[in-house]
Amino acid sequence: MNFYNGRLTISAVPFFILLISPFSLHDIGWLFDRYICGVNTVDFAVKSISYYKETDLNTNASTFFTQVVVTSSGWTRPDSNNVSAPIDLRLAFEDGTVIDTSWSETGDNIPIRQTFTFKTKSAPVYAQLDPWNKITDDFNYANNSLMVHDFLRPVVKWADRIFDFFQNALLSTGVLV
Amino acid sequence: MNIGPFKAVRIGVKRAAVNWRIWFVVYGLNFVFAAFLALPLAETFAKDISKSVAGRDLLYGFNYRWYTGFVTSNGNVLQSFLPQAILIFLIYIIIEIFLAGGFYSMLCGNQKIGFWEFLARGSRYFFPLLSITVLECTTLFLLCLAIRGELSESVYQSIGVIAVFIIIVLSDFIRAAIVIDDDNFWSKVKRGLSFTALHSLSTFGVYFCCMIISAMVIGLFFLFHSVNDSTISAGIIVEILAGQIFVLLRIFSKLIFYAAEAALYKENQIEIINVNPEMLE
Repeated sequence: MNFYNGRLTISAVPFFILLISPFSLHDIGWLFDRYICGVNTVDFAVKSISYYKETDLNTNASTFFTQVVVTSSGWTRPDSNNVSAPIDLRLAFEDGTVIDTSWSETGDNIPIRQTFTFKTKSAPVYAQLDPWNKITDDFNYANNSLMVHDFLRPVVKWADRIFDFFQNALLSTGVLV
Repeated sequence: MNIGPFKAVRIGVKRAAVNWRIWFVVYGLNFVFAAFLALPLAETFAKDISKSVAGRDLLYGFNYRWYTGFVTSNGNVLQSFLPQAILIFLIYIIIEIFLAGGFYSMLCGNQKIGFWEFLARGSRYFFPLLSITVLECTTLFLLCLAIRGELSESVYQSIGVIAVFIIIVLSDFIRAAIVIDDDNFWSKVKRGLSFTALHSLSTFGVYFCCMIISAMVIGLFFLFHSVNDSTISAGIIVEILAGQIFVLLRIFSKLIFYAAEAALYKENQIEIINVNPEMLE
């Protein structure tokens, strides 16, 4: 770390970590390990979402038990420090309610797979990891979420777009004839 | 009777409207081939879109972050799909060449021909029409090679586009000459230049009109309906219908073009035939 013409210049990452750690009041070496020094490819995924319904025969009230299995690769480092950035997990339900929670990896044996269980009054619609796109390193955003039932409207829309494109491309090629 | 391109287009519209059955032949062909091309791609996309919340964003626009992830997990689908697509396009063009002889025969206005006669005409003129298309494609390819290095220059670009357009128009004229006049085509090349105006009117003019009408229909729908999850389904249906009407109108414009081309060629040809005996006397 040097001062040159009144400007701070950093000679190495460890010095920078030492400099900013007192201000953040945390050891943030793990952040540099992952974002700057790490070579791992980060990928979060919702592997499965399942639920079952229990109905109380006396009150006729239904309770839904939802299980969400999430995995991460690249983000976790078993040899890293005990602190880790939490990953947001959102679970949406049919009645419009949303549960936002977070998956914090702590301890030496950091899990790369975790199962969350929720007990709610409504059936789940989807589970999504990192819904606010905080972790830009995630290289496959497509598997960050999983819907309970297939959602077909975007499929219809884009299938039609692709079909339209080829219809018009064929007609344009027909100009040659 | 010496007719101009505007009159030829009017005749073309009438003849294309009378022979409306051909629309469905061309539409059916286009539909089947587009389905062959679109289905494998749509199926691959569907697997990812239907299960993912990110796919829901695709209802309202395009999600580039989702697409990056899709390419990461599935590889470049478009690239692997290319050889198959080229083959399907090639088969489509060959069938179109086969049908072109029948279209000219039906739309030149002299006779009513049945389906089998339509196919017979197609096979009769297939090889001359194929040879002119191959010649046209070769010329276009060579032209593209020649101007390839200069594509950044807008002047060269414009010259290139005009040259491509003239080659296409000349080839169209020669095709009409082969079928209608049953004559060798090189003698007709000069007169082919007069088809340029016709081509712009009947093909590109109608094409742009269709495009503007479709855009207006979709635009008006979304102007009077706020876009949300419930109206988006109706929006998709409007989009599908507008897309198909647009394709049908493009097919209509193609048939107008065939008929107008035949009219322009045939009517002017009659005048030449009428004049020649007087000159001989």
